[in-house]
Amino acid sequence: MNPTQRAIEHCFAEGWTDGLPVVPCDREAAEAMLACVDRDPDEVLLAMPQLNRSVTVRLAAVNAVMAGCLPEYFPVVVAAWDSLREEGYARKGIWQSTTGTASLLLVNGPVRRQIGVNSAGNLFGPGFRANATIGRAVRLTAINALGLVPHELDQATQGTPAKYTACIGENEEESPWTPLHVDCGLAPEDSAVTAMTMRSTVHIEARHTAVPEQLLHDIAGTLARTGALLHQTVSACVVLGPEHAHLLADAGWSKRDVSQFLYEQSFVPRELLDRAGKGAMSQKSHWRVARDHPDAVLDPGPDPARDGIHAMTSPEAVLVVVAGSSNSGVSAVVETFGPRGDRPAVTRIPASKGN
Amino acid sequence: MPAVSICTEPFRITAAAMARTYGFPGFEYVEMPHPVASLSAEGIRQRVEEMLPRVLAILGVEE
Repeated sequence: MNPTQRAIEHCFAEGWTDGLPVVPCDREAAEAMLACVDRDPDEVLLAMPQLNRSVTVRLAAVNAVMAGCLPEYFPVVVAAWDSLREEGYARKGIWQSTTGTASLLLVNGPVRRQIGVNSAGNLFGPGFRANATIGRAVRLTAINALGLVPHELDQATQGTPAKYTACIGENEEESPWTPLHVDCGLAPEDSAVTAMTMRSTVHIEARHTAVPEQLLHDIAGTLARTGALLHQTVSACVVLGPEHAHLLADAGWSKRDVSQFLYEQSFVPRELLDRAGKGAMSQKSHWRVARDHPDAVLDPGPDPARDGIHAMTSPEAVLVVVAGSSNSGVSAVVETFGPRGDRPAVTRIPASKGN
Repeated sequence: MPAVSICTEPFRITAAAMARTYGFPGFEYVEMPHPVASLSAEGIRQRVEEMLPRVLAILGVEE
């Protein structure tokens, strides 16, 4: 074995990987990362008191090197940690949970072009260093700094492929609407990253229609699936392909209209909930349970005329972004964790100190 | 207040890892069969009866 291979194998032997080879990190490589941000290396980015462990800027830098990040990606990585802290679910322990969530990182603004974050074709797939390594940097840090090793402190029953990496750009250039960070009060020339705790991405195949309502009913069918319901209600980030976004915008629909319609159409009749044994909710845990559960209460939906619930918590719990290639009628529903509906954790990325 | 941790069998490794994290390797807890979430009320009652002596033993209660 040559020295590089030996170093890589050493990292495997120490358990410092996600199963793929990592880039061995030395002091110089970590320093190059740290030089790109104006942060104290000892600053705590995310603390997990239940584990007595925390992520510092330095630990994030070492793992960013190991993930294969270039130094100029590091401001995005640090902003991702700031966003994860604000979003809240990671520090509350969801990364240890059987649900097996991942962190979706959505990148907005000029930084996408500067470092090559893919926001077009094969968005959730491989082929782009920034997407592949920024998301991976978060996962490796979770494993190495927080000790969230599978079969040990990471108790995911099945997990998701997104745990390797889930970092996408919004396709602002081909979106008919303002991008997420601008909706949330930042300037178009700002760059931002938004972390969302996610379970799955589900494909929406809708190449067949030019009718907005048909397209949205097709998407709503996925939003209203009972299998997603652990708690009373859920939330989603709907990633519209540019073709779908234009179909809707050309017919006069705003993002707000889309969210409102999808919320309304996420109605699940009680009969369907009952069929899946989820017709009621536990008073204590707010998990969905069958009506005959000793702790069951019927949760009335917002519409007294119809017996059932809306799977989505509110229109605000349906976040709409645009990404992917303008080559077909394909979109995705990213099932996000928690009821949500509050401001997304949009976090501004300062310019790299090196630039 | 004295407390005893209870976990089901698949969480044994995690429980041991948590104990090590807090500097208490060998921390005693009650382990029970999986699952719990889908048990009926009667099933839960049986579990409690089965586990109670072990909980009391860890608490040092002598009957």
